[in-house]
Amino acid sequence: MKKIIENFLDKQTFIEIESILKSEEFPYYLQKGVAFNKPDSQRGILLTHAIIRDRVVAASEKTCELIFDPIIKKLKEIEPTFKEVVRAKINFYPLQFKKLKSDYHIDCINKHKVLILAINTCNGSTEFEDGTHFDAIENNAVIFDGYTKHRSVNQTDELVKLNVNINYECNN
Amino acid sequence: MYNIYDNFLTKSYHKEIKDILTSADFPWFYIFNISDDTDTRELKNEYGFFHLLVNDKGQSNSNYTSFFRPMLHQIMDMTNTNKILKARCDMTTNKGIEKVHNTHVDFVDQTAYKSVIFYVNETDGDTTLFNEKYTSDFKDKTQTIMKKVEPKENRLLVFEGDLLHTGSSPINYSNRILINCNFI
Repeated sequence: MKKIIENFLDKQTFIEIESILKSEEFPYYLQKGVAFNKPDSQRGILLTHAIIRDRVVAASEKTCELIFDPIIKKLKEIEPTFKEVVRAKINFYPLQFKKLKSDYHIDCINKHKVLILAINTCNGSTEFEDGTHFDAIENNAVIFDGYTKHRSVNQTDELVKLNVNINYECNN
Repeated sequence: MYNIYDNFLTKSYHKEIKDILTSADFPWFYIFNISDDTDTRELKNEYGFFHLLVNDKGQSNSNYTSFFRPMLHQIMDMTNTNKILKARCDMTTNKGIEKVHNTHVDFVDQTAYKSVIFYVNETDGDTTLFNEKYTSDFKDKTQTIMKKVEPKENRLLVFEGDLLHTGSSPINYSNRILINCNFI
């Protein structure tokens, strides 16, 4: 079951986060591409900025304070049984002039939930194996069970597709 | 007007540079125009990623700068220059289409300097050198190609700074990583 939340963050907080993530001063780190079973030229490009890696904080104090904390604060309001973040990262997909889809996957093997918060609006999306999809619309978020297979679809209309991807556990 | 030096660095130093720049630990910064200062956000195809090693005031700008200094000094010795104007790691990515970037020079307000490109990884996307030199109205004129240089790894390209040139994005590889620097 998937839950879509429009206007996930208050407008001012969202604008501040968006501005940081789109700035020339915020670093991103090159990943090996999203479609691992394809040749190098068709893999697509993905850069990320890790915030939590294997339950350990990987980002700077400032990044946590300005980006991570407001999102978690809001998430806790929605998820009263929220327990712990397993992994959190920012995904940065540069513009491609053709649609590329990653392989269907789950993010972690343990029981968990996934939050994806779209930072900008574009024609990219997250597709689910049941045929549904979450469109990249700014400040919209989707929450779904961690065992739901999903994949990213890049955008062909905007310079970047940006989202925050959080894998978290709940009590019970 | 230009020189190409293959196998410029020792094998192990080049490998170390390549390993660093292609690793998931190296920070890249997004820029909507990798070639010059023109606002190309509407065109949506000039974007790239950079990591500044030495800024245009000649100051170190990164924790990684010291690792690259031996290479920068080797280039200075080879080009008979003694000052680094700027040094930057550049990465363009596969956009799914062939893309030649904007024609440009690296500095419009500097004379008698050298532009240098060190190709880091195996990729495609030629660098094009034009016969014409920079003039303030060069965009209104037609340029003729002097040389297309393939981005062979561990290759160094040196040319006069006022020579118009451009790069292109890779189409057969996921990314194209180089070090672009200028000396006087």
